[in-house]
Amino acid sequence: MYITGIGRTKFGILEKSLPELLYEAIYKALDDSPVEITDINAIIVANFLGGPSQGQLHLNSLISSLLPGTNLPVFRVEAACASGGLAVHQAFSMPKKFKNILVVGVEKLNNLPTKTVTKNLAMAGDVLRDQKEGVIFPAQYAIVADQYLRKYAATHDDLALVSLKNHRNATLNPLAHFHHKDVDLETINSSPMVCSPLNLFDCCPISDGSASLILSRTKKSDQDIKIIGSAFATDSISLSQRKELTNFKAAKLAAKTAYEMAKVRPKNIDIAEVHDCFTIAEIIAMEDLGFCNKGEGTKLVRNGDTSLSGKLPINTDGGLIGDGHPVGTTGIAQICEIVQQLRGEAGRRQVSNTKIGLTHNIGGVGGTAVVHILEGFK
Amino acid sequence: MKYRCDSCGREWDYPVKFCIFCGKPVSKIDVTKYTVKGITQVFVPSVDHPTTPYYVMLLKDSNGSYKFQKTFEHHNIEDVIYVKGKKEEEYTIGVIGTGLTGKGVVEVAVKTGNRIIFKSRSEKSLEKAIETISKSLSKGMEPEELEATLGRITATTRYEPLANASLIIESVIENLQTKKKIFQKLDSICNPSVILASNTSSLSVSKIAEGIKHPERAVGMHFFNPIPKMKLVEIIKAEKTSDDAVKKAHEFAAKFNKVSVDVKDTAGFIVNRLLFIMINEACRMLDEGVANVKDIDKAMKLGANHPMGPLELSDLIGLDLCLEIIENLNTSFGEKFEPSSTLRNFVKEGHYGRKAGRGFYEY
Repeated sequence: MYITGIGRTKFGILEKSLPELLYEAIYKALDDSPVEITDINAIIVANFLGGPSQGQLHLNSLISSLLPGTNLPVFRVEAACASGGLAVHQAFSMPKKFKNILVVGVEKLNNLPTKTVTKNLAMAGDVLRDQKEGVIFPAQYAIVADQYLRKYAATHDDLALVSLKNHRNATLNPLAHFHHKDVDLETINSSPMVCSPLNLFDCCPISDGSASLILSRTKKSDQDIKIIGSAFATDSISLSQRKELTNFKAAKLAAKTAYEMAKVRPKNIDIAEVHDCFTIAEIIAMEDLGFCNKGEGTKLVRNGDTSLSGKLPINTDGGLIGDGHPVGTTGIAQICEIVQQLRGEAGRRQVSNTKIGLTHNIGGVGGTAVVHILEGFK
Repeated sequence: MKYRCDSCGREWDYPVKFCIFCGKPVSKIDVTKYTVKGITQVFVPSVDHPTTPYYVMLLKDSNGSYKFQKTFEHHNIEDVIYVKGKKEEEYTIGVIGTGLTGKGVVEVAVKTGNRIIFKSRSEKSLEKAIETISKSLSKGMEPEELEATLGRITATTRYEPLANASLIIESVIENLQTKKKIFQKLDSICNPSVILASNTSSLSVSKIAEGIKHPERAVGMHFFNPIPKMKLVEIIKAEKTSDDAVKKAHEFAAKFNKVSVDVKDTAGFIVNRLLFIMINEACRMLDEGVANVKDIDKAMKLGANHPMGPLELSDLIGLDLCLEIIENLNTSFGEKFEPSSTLRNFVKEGHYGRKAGRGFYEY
């Protein structure tokens, strides 16, 4: 399957409504692709909190309203923060009769008080085991970070370096939530505590935004990027229902399947977008994806291996921390970034000599994991 | 509470009966001893957890299973914690009175796992009341659960079965002499540890408890209609009420899934004193022609974020009852509760509100 068009909105605290965001992303993706709206056979929409935050469900029909007269089959996918990645995997798994599929992710959260948004985001966790005990989303990853730092004798300085890199990358991405934010280590280290040991700069922001892809069974132009691996696995919804707390089994399984399908190894990956909802998540992602051994993720960051000029640049768009995290959109935005990089259209953050890119999208605290491997033609 | 397959050892956190992998029965495991394996201090408030900072501990039991636990105390890694099992203690609660409030109290108390001794003078009214409670409970329960729940209610026309209850809530008509008699009777037959509560909305709890031998156990527990829906209970400390009785009343309120507040034994307590000065003032605005009915209600809904306007609310409560309460408050607090003439006129003409088909609005 080929990615023949990409489009996304700016991420951040936006004025635009959910339908406006959807329309903009869809318009841009179609504009970018040789495929016309009349060639689309199906649509998959990814969204997490449309119900609780917007009072808007039945998004498949809402999309039909945006594309009057098309009456297309539209499917909605929800897997918390992995909704976007899962929508792409769903498109990849659709019957062959769907020749061109439009995938779009959307999230609109910033019209409610933060206390309500925090509660809504916690819906990604088990209602009795997690939500009732106050395990809000950052607390999930704080527990993971707490386990990781003690297990591998790492420190918060290791985490701060992830935040610094991703914020720097975001300044090179004009659509990023924190495009205009200059961040140094002092800012990061002096920011208020959210859930110990994670402070504000360890966390991704709450963003609005939409992103869209056109996927086609046949190659449409020279800019097409091929999906050579697409895999997905789940795990229990609560961290407390697992044995392993410092890596995600679902991510390891999805990665293994995707590598096998793509016939590549971790060392063949030139560039990656990983799910850094919190700094610790980026470190764990690198280990789950086999970019390094367990407990060595911090070393990769410290050596600069994952910075723009390193041997495996990670989260070149700023990641969830710098680019933003419009929940249902994120997995699709990650693919947009890899496509731009493989096409050589990433502007000031362009990485040279990239052929194979990977995206890693996590729902909740590792309850859903989706991995994609993309191949460019350069 | 965990559920583990006797055969393969797989675990669930949900009450499953049979293992889906081997078809074997699943056993309940109630663990109480845990070791702290991780902790985070949470500084971000959320709707369900507004008070910060708090801690979330990751606890591990002797079988190697984890659970999260919220706490406001700091614990160190490897501390041993004892957590009470989920099984909730069951109390015997006496309820006297089969009116709207008596039925409401029975419903919330039985629904939260307690045994009820339901006392009234007439068997017929008890029968009818239980039927209403059953109907209300059946909306959210499977038939077997409903049967078990109703099985915890014992109806009686005698006082004696109440002697060993943990708490008795009197919910009869608002008449001082009637309530006094009930308290005296209860005081004479009940073990001194039994808490005696009056669900009065307008009488003095000190006066109700006057002359009984153990006035330290008499307390006010004012519930709000419709009781199954309204979260609040006002806990009234009378002159001689002990701190222990007040504390227990709060605990019972929490057990009934209610939120409780403390208030001294004064007319109207908190809610009615504030509510009825507003309702009376809204009626006085009608006396003075300041604004019309619809606009007063609209203004309070949109300007003060009240779910209902004061006049539609008074129609719902019943204007006759409103006037009675305002007159009581007038006796205690004087001029500021002088009843509005519009309100008096409506009551005189029999326009009692929603129940009469006409009040400030037509129904």
